[in-house]
Amino acid sequence: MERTQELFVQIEDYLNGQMDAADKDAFERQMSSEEGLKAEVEKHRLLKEAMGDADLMAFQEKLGRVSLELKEEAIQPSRQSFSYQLIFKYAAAFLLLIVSIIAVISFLPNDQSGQLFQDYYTPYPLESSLRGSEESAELIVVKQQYKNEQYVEITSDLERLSVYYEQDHSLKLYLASCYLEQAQLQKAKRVLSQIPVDDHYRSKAEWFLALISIKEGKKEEALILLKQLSKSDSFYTESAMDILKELR
Amino acid sequence: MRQPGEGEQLKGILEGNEEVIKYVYRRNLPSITKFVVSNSGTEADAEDMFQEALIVVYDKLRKDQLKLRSSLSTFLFSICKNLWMKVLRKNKKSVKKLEGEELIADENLIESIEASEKYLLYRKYFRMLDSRCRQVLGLFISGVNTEEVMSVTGYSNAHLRKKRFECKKKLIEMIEKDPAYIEHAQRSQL
Repeated sequence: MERTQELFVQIEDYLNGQMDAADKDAFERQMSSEEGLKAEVEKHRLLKEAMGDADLMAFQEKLGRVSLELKEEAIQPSRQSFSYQLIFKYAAAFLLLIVSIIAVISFLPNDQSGQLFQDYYTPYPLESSLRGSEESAELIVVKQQYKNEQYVEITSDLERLSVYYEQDHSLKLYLASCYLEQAQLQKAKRVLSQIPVDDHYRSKAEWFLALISIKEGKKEEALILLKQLSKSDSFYTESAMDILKELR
Repeated sequence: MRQPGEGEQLKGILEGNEEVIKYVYRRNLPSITKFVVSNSGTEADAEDMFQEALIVVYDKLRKDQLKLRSSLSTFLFSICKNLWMKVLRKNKKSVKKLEGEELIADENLIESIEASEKYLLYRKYFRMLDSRCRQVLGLFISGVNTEEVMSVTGYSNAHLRKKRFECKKKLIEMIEKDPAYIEHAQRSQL
């Protein structure tokens, strides 16, 4: 069933009791013969029930604000809060980093591919927001955390946000970088492959896909991607040409 | 801020006192996150469950129906655990048992959880909409008339209608992509 503005108005009028008797009868007859329409009305009804209480809505908004403030506090720890707890946190992060490096090294198929990956890989740089773009407060916070290299902390947020902002493919590149920082190659591959071939972010995705192929020891796959990149006019064209020379 | 007692926490939740709510968050969210993450969930899932549990508590408080037979923390954990178990069952995943955490067999609580479960996805994805969409949909769904919504948002009538449609469509599409919704829809078709 195609969702149109007219259909939504009709459903809302029905649920709000704003249809006259004849229209209501006709609409109910249509619902009984069209399962799709009946299901659509049910979705609108549940939405109205879930959101129809102004006090609950206000409380929910408040929870959202509190959550955001707590996340902001977490990424901007004050000098006064510097304590043993913080030292332990940094120690844990350092330990995690060491473990990750060991994990990365142990998964390398050979020394050359691992070295090449290390030489060329850097996380996708944070893009500046477009002037006038309406970004949610949560997205702004997550991007700030990405800038602060809190890759592990924001992975689950980015997984969710990249689904919500499905047309914003830069989020997929940030998410892939988070995965790569944690040596999760397959997850990175999966999310990069979701960027459509005709999108301008695709060439950037292919750069990271090529690096993953190198790391996995799949030289032929990497060569195909890098040759394409070297002929294109993209952010990573020069890097692709450089790495091609080394691979050959 | 000094640590508020149980009564102060309940009063703070009812009055929407943000400092108290922050305290409740800090005190309870870590254990809930631990449970959800060790049972196939993410930190974001844990926070969704926790917010839903707080909504249940707030709703019961304002209706004067909250009869705690345990601490607030145990009550919040029980709601989250029950809700998450239902999500896992829908996704056909098993739950690890945590020692010392018992479920409360309280009819009122079970009713509240069932009501919450029904609306969980709608509230979850509503929270994920951008602030403009939340504002527009929230005002309309709460019964505010078009003229007032136009005045609050500054949108023209035509733009408002378009925005309302787009936001609602986006919300429904997000819900439909959720694995729990897909699973439920597939079961209903059987």
